[in-house]
Amino acid sequence: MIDLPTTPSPTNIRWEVLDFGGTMQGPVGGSAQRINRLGNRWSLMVTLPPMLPADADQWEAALLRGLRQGVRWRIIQAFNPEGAGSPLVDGGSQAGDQLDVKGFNAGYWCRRNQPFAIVSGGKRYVHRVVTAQQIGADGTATLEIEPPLRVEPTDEDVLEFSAPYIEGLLAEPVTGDFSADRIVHGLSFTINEAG
Amino acid sequence: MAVTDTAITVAGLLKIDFVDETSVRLCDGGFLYFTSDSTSEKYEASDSIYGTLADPGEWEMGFGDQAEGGTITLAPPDTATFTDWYGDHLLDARVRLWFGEVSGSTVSSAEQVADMLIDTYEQEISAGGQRILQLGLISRAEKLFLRNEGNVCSERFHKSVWTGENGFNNCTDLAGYVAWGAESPPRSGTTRFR
Repeated sequence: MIDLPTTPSPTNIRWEVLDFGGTMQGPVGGSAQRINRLGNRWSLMVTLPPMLPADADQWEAALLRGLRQGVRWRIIQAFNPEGAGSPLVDGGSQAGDQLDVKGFNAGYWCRRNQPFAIVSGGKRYVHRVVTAQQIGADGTATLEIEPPLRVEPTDEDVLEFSAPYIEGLLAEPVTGDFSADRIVHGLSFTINEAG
Repeated sequence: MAVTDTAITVAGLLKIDFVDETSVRLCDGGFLYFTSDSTSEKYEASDSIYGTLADPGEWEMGFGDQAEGGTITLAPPDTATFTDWYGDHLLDARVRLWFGEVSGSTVSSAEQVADMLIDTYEQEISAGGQRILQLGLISRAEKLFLRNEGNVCSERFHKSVWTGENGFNNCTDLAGYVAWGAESPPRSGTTRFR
């Protein structure tokens, strides 16, 4: 797993759900039904700004090796998510779209739509908080999350709230354009979570 | 949830029971708990040896004396040892497929849609360079098609009496083949060209 550089910051980030479900709709107006399948996860499209060749070399080298080995990238958010404490999964045998957690700093706000990663079995699985919730005095909470859990976390698996990372596979090889202005343009990449 | 709801969650479950009493349990994505053989077992999206279900293939269903068949395709991970997922240990393994509705991580109202045996196995290299394992399936009932005809004039019976005597080796009762370019045989015969 290759760690991608942190600078320069991207100009655009787009989150998409890799959705394995679908809608069953008859062609003659019968009522539609949504069929959900398990395993929904994230695809993250990142567009980088024009940059000097020295910066681009860092990105391109990491993305080149990452094509083979997978990449890990720190998620950039619109707000500062730090101050969560040392959150952990609270208890094993959890499933579905709720997650018992512990180890937070009391009073920390888990924001609506805040991304976080569960580190389980050496892999990261990114989810989002669906309902905003402030952590109580004992540092525990039951969070509403999406998509539903894709693996069964064990008790005290680490949760990344303050600095979450996404890891997965690159959707395609990445190259930039080295132009006459000696600037590299057009670097962008897509990370698809693997599991 | 009920099947009449606006949105439902469904999942397919695949269980392969090998002859050595080990099993592989796979589901579409995520993980599920499902009770098929009196104990609740965990089904996961990926197995460390056999990987994921790359293609559920086509499954036949029929009435009467139809011999049902099917195929499934698995995508073993590159980290798995080749001989662990490819070999004669696959043969005669029982393959079952269920389809059910999901609530949390448990399956309700699951219906078994296939109960088969692995008949053939084949490795293919797919377009993306991935090694995939294709399993050919036959109905479990097809075992009943085997006829024990007793002592008949066959290669096997002949050799049980005359070990090493090869006189019946070519009496396979199959169509015979002649080399390309040989004289054409009578049209009523069973000889074929290739």
